[in-house]
Amino acid sequence: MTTRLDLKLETLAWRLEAEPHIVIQKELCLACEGRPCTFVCPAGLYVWEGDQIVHNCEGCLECGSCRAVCPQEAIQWRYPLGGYGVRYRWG
Amino acid sequence: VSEHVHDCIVVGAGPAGSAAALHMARDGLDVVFLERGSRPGEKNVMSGVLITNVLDTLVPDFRDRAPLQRRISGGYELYVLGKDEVLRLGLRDYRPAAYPPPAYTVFRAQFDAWFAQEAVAAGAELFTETLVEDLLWEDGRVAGVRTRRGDLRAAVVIGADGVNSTVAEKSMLVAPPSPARLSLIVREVLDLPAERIEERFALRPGEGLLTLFYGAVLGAGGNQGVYFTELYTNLDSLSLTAEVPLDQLQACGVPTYDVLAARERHPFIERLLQGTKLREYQAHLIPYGGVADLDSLYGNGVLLAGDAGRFTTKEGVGSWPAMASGVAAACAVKHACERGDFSRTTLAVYRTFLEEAGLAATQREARRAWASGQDPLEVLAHHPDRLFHAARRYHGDWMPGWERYAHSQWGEAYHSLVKPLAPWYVRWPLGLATWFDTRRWRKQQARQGGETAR
Repeated sequence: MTTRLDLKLETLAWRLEAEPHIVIQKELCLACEGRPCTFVCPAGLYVWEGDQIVHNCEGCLECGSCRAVCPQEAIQWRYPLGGYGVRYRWG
Repeated sequence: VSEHVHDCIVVGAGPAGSAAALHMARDGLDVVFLERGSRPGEKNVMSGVLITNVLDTLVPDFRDRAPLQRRISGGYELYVLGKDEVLRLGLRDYRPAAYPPPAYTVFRAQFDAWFAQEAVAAGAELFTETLVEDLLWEDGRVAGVRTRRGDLRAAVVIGADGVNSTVAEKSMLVAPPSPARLSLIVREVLDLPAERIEERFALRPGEGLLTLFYGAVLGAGGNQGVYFTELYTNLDSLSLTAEVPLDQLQACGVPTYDVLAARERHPFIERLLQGTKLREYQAHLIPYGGVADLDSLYGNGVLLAGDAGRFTTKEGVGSWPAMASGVAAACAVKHACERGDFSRTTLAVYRTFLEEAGLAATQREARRAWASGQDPLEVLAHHPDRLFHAARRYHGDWMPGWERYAHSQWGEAYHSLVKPLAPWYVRWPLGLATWFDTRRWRKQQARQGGETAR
């Protein structure tokens, strides 16, 4: 199913920003139990690898779900700067 | 950096922001509205249909000019999804004025751009690619916004910047929404030629259809969530969504994209989607459960409208409440400009305008629906096995081989009404009684077997 999501994300266009718009305080993730970000993110950008969370800002759909569900409040989230980020052509 | 003080800065050029900007520009106010995308609508996802009651009052000839897809004529189709079966309910209403406020499918990338342009034509000034990062404060009141392109000053700032509102957060008017008050939607736009859409869904050119699916999803931990799916017709494409409140998603643990993929493969939906090709995948967060407190939507020099204020109906429709709240905010700003006072006390007139627009009642209903848990269909969707059992019983009346599932009169009532709906402490004793009653009845049937063979 992951490959399907990859294919789906390929339909989208982005203008990428140099600095990441999502910053995670990874030390807080160690205490996290459910790790909801790993299944809540609709682009599947949060992956738990071994002992830490791996996150990729590229591919963000800017929904804000990760910040809302993070039980540790470890996710510092802002919108990408004006003109950057995802560009929906058929929103 | 300009020292010019505008009458109002509207943050966000979606339905709420553009409605507010349009209304104020027409009233002759000096209005600037800001959009973080390279054009309005670029960051937005339409998850539903646009109900045009408010748009009709703002732009009466919108039907001729707005980029609309299909008119959703009265009615809808509604399904409860089982694993390999569906239960159907629905209404098609062909009366001429079936739906007083007609609804349309639209693409926000097109519609929002057009709507913002209406405001520009009326005299509002639009800045795109402009992200508001902070508010400017002066003597304890909001005096403008901070952007990378410089500071902008205004007597009032209207926050219409969506569910993750920077204005709401920085003005500290409302607390960040809890997951229970947010709903995540993923959506696919699927190409399908117009003629095939019309044949498949029994539509005439320009007519559209809204189809709703309720389906329970069982998570790995045994928790069940009801994911709501909508399928609607655009001009030459279909939109398929999967929507779930964040708290349910958290409890259930099944990603929305997996549910969407499973819905695509559901035997019934698969048939509806035959021959389609994916055009775009999208995700969007929406508020859920209505505005908690209307008095939290205004402060000194600041107002919140649309998703930033968390306006929705009890069905989760956000676009027309957004427009209506934008208009109410515009009226409040005009009132404040006439008085020359932009304090919270004066801007409290926003509440009056919201009440006049009927939004206070809408939000009350939305809050009540949210607090009561869920709508009846969602309750049914939680128990698909029982529901389908009940549905199959009627099927059994004319299908040979189903007699062995037949029940006494009391058993019929129990299995179709009590069992799907009643809690366990009602179900257990009545279920036991039903079992005995049915056994008695079957024996009686067997005795009469010869004469009354079905």
